[in-house]
Amino acid sequence: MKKIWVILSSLLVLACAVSAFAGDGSFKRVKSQGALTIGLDDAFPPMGYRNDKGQLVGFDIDAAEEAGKRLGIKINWQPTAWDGVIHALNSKKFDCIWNGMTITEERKKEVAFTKPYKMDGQVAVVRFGEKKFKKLADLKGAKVGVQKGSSAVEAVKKLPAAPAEVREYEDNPKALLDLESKRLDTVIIDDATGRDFIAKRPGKFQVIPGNITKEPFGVAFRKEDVELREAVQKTLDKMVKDGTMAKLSKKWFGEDITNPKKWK
Amino acid sequence: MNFFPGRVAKRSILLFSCLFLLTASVAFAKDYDQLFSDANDAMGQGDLPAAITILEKVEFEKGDDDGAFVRSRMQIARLQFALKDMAAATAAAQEVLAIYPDNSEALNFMDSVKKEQKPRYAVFIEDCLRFLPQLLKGAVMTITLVVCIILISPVGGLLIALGRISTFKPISGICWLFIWLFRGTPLLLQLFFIYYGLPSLGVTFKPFTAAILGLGLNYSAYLGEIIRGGIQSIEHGQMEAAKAIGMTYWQAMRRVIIPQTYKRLMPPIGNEFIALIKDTALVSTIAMVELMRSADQMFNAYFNVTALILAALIYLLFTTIFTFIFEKIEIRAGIYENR
Repeated sequence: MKKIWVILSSLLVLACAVSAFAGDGSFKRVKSQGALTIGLDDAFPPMGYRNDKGQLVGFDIDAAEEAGKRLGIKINWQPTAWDGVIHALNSKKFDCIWNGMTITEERKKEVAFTKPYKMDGQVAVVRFGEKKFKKLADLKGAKVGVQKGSSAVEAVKKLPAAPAEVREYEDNPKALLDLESKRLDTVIIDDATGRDFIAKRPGKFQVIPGNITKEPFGVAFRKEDVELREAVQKTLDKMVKDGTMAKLSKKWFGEDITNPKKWK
Repeated sequence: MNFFPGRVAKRSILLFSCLFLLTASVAFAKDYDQLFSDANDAMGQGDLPAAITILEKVEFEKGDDDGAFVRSRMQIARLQFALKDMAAATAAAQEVLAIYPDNSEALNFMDSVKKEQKPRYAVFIEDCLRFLPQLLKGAVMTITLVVCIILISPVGGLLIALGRISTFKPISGICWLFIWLFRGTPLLLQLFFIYYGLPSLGVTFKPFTAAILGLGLNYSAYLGEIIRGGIQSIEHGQMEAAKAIGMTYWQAMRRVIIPQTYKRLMPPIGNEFIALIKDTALVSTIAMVELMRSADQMFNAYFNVTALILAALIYLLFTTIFTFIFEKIEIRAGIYENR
């Protein structure tokens, strides 16, 4: 008789524990699907872009694939237009956005972010050998180019002096080519992305020293998918701790910008 | 006279500040911001070798250098590149690779240097081979779209044309409205509305479906007007004659009127389909990966105009092939009239 009680009570405890962990079931759902679907703009070097063989490569690709491996789920990449990416996430076209996404208050109203996994600055790129614009303060009255819908649009407002004109472009390379052909004075861009382009076109551009802003990057989930977000967060934390993120960061950015201790 | 001593003074200040910097850099090895700013000043004055000398003072610190080393060496590499000293540029990038063997910035830079040393035509051919597989994949989608619309729009166009010439007012009115709407607004706007606008009314299409729908409706409207013109160009007497020998309206249409329009329809329809090949580029704006979007992806990822030139050549190839096919069809369609 005593044995039955022990078994029954332990079953009860187990049931409680299971129901406590059951939560929203979002992680279970992804597990049973066998794949985590990630939405991205696949033309965003060095976060995620296609190499000449058509394979997706980049910092976020490496990091997410590694996280998927640790969680025992496959990653399914879903290219999407960056414009309206949040709407697409909330209408369940994919499970998360892992694509160099800046955490902003505006976006936080609609999606839930992981803790920042990377900190990167916005810089001003000018033509190589530029003599007029040497400091950020020199950009007073300049013609500035930015990518439409990117956080550079906000960074422009934080320049020490107001520019004369801000032009928005579909993509960064188009803005940079306009800079090269002297129709712009400067392009405001993520440091990592800017350096990637500069390396591909040496002798054409240089960066004005100093960051305009520093921005945290996060992975965005639907607000109700708490379990899924926490599972990914735990894995990300481990990847920071064991140096995996640092290694990937050095590969793609030449320095470790994933270590929270270094963000002042 | 006043001018000369000023220059000397300036020089001595520069020399002094250089000396100061040298000692400062030893004292505060980690404060590299100043070095970068000085290097930038030197660049601003056009003195690239001085900038290189300053940047070379940045040393690699194991563990925690905030990327200053990589930054300095890549900047040196770019400066040497500008000075056309490719060996020194490569050496600077190699310094980075010695520490971070898979650093993408340094690897990209090495690629650029290698390219610079090759003749232009070789670089162009290499780029073409590099982009071609991706572009061809996009081209397959472009052709799929074109073939679908070529199959759909003549059917839609014929229905609209028959509706337009119908004596039953509501039907001809609806067809008139359809043409008025789809011919009177930009195709790009129609695509945007179908893909981005309809979801807020509760109808969500996949990109491919939205593309087929948008192009199909638009081209049906245009072909409708062309086919109507073709039908109405056949003398009315023929319809009367067909009816006089006991054919119904539809029999007369199918057996007498429409077959005669084929030849005269071919040139304008061929024209429309060539326009269609190019108009498919518009669906790249609604998340479709076709030729234009593939070219744009390659252009963005590699910063390389060759991808766009190559896409233009592929479009030209398609329109050329279509022109030939339509010339052949036109001859066949008019086989009884070309005597």
